[in-house]
Amino acid sequence: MTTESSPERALRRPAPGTHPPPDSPAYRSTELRHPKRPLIVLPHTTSELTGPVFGREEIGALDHDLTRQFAGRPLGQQIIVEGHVVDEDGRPVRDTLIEVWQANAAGRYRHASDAREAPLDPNFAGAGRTKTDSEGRYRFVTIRPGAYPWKNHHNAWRPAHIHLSLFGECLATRLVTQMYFPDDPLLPIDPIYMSIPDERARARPIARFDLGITVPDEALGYRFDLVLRGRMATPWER
Amino acid sequence: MGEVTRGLTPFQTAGPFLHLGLRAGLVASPTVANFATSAGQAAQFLEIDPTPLWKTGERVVVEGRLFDGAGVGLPDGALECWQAEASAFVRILTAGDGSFRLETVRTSHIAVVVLGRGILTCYWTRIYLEDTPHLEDDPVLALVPAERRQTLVARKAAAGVYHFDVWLQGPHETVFFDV
Repeated sequence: MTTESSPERALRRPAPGTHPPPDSPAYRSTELRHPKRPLIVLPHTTSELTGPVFGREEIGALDHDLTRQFAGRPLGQQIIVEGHVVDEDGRPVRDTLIEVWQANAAGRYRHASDAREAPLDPNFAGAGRTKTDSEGRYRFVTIRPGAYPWKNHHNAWRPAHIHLSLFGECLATRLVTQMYFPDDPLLPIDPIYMSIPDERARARPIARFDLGITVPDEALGYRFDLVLRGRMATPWER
Repeated sequence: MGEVTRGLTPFQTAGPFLHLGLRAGLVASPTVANFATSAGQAAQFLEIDPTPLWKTGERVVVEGRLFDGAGVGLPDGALECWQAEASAFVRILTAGDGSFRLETVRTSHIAVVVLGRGILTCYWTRIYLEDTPHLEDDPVLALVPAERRQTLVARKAAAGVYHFDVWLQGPHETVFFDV
């Protein structure tokens, strides 16, 4: 019963070039961590077409504001990230959980494995969560993360980025991605960003500066819209 | 297939610090939710009006390790386990040696999303418990070449305890699906 495929409800398959290939040699960590055998194409079943539903009760009132999790304010440029989560047909993705994590303004994560000498910020944990509203809108307040060096290759630096995790309406709409900032000179030399094959798709994880979101005397505003997988057109649609 | 109006947002890796943002034990069902923070194990469900299957189902434990192609356990990985029949979702963060432990109820299978550093998207797999009746009739297992099916089957280690390793690569490579 639960493994019956439901072609009339299936999701569209991503256009080729949208997602990075599992084996992207320029990002060295993929070398031992990508499957070498062919993936088995799975018709979407109940398991993929349903998914977890998270209540609002587990989202704290200030979980969306990474600048107010401690007594003091974090160092760095305060920013607001706002956007819509929609599917490929532009339908809003309502009430979906969004989790974010990022480095501090000095480019350091509050994580045991980040052993760089860059300073930690006692007022910044770098993790938050929120849910989209009934129109698919979401909003985070945080600070602009710093770029940071990593050991992928000589003089390798990750462009400033914020990690985002979204569920969408079912398991198959799961998305984990990174938001980048416009005009970052590190983008074209970053093997993770450049692992996205299609140039048009590469434009999508870059936020846009937005004066309308910017709050006077307080924070710069960025718009970052996210698009999750949509459903196949059903026979009674066009 | 209809014409799409918006371009899909591409995946990017969860990176080495995913445990910072993806909390262990994120657990959900329509009426059951809880956060916890201990790495390497799932949190307890808050049993507020759980689904009938969750309440009465047979408790099972699935434990194992997440390995790379060189046989090294991933300390920076996550397994997200979804069981539609029980509306049960648990996120497990791997421990330093790549080990994980899932405490749940028996269902026909467990859908698993694997995330981690070096994984640019996410990998989709399934866990089937070896003593599930009529496994040979499962239409998804039937899609998998016979010689690789055992990579999706958790072996019974003790009463109610099953062992399941995930191999991202190598001679034991787990079957992953194109979802």
